[in-house]
Amino acid sequence: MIAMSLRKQFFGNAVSAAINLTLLVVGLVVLAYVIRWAFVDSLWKESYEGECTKVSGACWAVIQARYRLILFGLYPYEEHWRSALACVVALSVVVLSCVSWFWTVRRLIAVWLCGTGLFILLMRGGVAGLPLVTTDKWGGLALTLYVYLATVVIGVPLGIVLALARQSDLPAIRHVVTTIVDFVRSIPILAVVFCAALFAPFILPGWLTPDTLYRVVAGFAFFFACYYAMIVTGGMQAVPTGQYDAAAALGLGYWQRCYLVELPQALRTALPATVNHMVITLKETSVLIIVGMFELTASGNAALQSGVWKEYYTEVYIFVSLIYFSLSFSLSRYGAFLERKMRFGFGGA
Amino acid sequence: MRTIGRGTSLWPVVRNLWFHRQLRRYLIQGLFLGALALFLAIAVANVHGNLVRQGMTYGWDFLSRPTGWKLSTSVLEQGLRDPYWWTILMGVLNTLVLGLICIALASVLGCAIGLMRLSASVMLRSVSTVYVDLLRNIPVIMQIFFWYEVCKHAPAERQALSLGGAFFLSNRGFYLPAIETQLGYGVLFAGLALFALTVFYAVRRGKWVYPLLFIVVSAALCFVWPGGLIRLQVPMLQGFGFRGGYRVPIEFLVLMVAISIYSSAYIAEIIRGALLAVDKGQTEAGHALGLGRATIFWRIRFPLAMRNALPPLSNQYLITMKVTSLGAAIGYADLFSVTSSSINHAGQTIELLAIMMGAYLAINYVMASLMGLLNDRLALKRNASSPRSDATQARRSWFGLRSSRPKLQSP
Repeated sequence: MIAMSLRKQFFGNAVSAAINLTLLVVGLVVLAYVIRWAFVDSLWKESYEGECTKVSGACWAVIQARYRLILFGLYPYEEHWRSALACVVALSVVVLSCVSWFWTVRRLIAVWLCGTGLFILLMRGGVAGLPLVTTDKWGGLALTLYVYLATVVIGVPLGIVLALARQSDLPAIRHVVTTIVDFVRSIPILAVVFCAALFAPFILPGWLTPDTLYRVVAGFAFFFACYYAMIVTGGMQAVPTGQYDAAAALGLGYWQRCYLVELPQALRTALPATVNHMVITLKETSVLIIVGMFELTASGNAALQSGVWKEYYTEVYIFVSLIYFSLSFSLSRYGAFLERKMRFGFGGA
Repeated sequence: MRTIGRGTSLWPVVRNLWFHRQLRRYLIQGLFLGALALFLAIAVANVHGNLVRQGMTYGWDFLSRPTGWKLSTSVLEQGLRDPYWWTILMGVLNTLVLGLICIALASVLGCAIGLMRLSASVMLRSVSTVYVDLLRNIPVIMQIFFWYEVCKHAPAERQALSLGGAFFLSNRGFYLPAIETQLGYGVLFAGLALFALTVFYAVRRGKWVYPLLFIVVSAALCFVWPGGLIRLQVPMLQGFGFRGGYRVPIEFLVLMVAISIYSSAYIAEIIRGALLAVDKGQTEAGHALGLGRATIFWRIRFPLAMRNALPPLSNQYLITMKVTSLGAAIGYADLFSVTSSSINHAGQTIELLAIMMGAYLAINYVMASLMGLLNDRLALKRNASSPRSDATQARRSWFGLRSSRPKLQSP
């Protein structure tokens, strides 16, 4: 059966057969080349310095030598286990929030707040015998995940508040918030983060000016919130008007209506778009390299800086891209799965 | 009749005021605006205080001062003596040129990949699926860095890769033949514009005489004119570098390739979705009329799909324009990086940030309005009672952003 449909797809007519065959041959040649480069002719561990220059394939020894820098940045060497554990905590927070058992307000808040708290505790230390490591030493994958966690923890509630304000029937609040949200959405993320890093010290009084990392995270989270507000607004507009009438008939006030009627339905409708946006945000953390943050992309670049490894940029970029790809691809597959599931009415029950 | 003891209390009055619906609305809004005004006042006071403390001045005079530094790349001439306003304008122009080229390339590539995703051939489908999934799940800045390294490792000028003897790729840039004309570039551009006009007219009215006539006449003029009216000047290797021709700087080339490819993956998905959204009945109607498969595709499905695709496509175009700001990572002199180096040199942080924001807003607004107009023109005309199109709403909303449907991708 499968063989027949395959044959039909492959050799449907002369033209498609020709295209398929050519592509197949080209694909196989490329694949063979890549396999040879990556696995056959490659070197996984240097037995003496400069051995990599002798081989024609990939030099994975650069990863062997540099993976700690890429993953943990300038974090003190002896404390790397803390950074690694923090990464595991961050990833498990994301994985746990994909399980539908956690999809209640209290459980989600608990998971994200506890996760972020634990993450910061592990990274920062200073308690329970862990030496203190200040934020300027944080880096690599750990910093990327930190920015991500903090952005979601700040951005989601803020986004919901902005969405409610946008939909408010008080004109002053609606107009001001709409203007701010549209303004932020029409400038690049880089400009927002740059402003947060550069402009905040001018605006805020001296005692309220935290260090650059927190400012950048705040800017990043605000940008996230503005986009998320649009997603939530979309969800709210999909709530049937009858629901509002019913809420009014039951005598619910504004906050009760939002909390019990509007938001549960809106957030559920917006779920696929939310997951999609989470994926984008994860990738967007990489722009922080431009404002001087030492996150995953930057630490990948730093691994290349030392003279010996300069030539092996392909290997390092493949390694870093693989980290981004595995996180982003699995999350976006999950989003697509949710979307399919919702189309067959699992939200209605 | 008032009861003693409660009459003297203010509480019922306050309670009545609070539960007075209209009054409460005013109260809440007043408080909100008051808090906003307070925040702004504190911000302005702090800014003023900080500026005074750091001995900086506020003002726009710096715009006419010469910069004293040169942009790494610029479309028009920019030098050390040029004032700030010209330099910043060049930054805007660099952003626009890069963005528009990326949009054009990404559209073509994206259309092709999107069609491949729906092809009957297994191989075409799998190749395009891998393309889309791979490019959409790796940050664009990683892709930019990767292509930058690839181009930096290209051969030096003396061993430049030659493409047909007229195009050369080296680690300093991409060389292509220049067009030389004795008439000056103004006349050349006017001629091109005139040609575009005749083609436009021909498409509208179906009269292809004028463009053909135009080509014949200009070709004849070029042939007859002493010394040649238009010549192609091919870059030539002389000593260590190339002479003649245009040099596309390596940064521009890298960004063009990286952003176009990245954006094309998203556009491919948009095109695919739009084609899938076309009603099956349309295709069946085409079959019933006895039209061929190609005719059905090009005359029925594709035009209808384009109408579906236009709103998300305009969003993607806006995003692509904003992504060009990442050029700062490899030193391309776009609006963002010109602003940031101006801040380093001139120190007028607030004014320069305001200019940058204003410029991005303006670009965004103009593009959104143009796409909205296009959408209005292309939208199928239904009966008069049909609801307003998205595009009309777009022009009514602030900054030209569509307010109804959230967009799913940034930056």
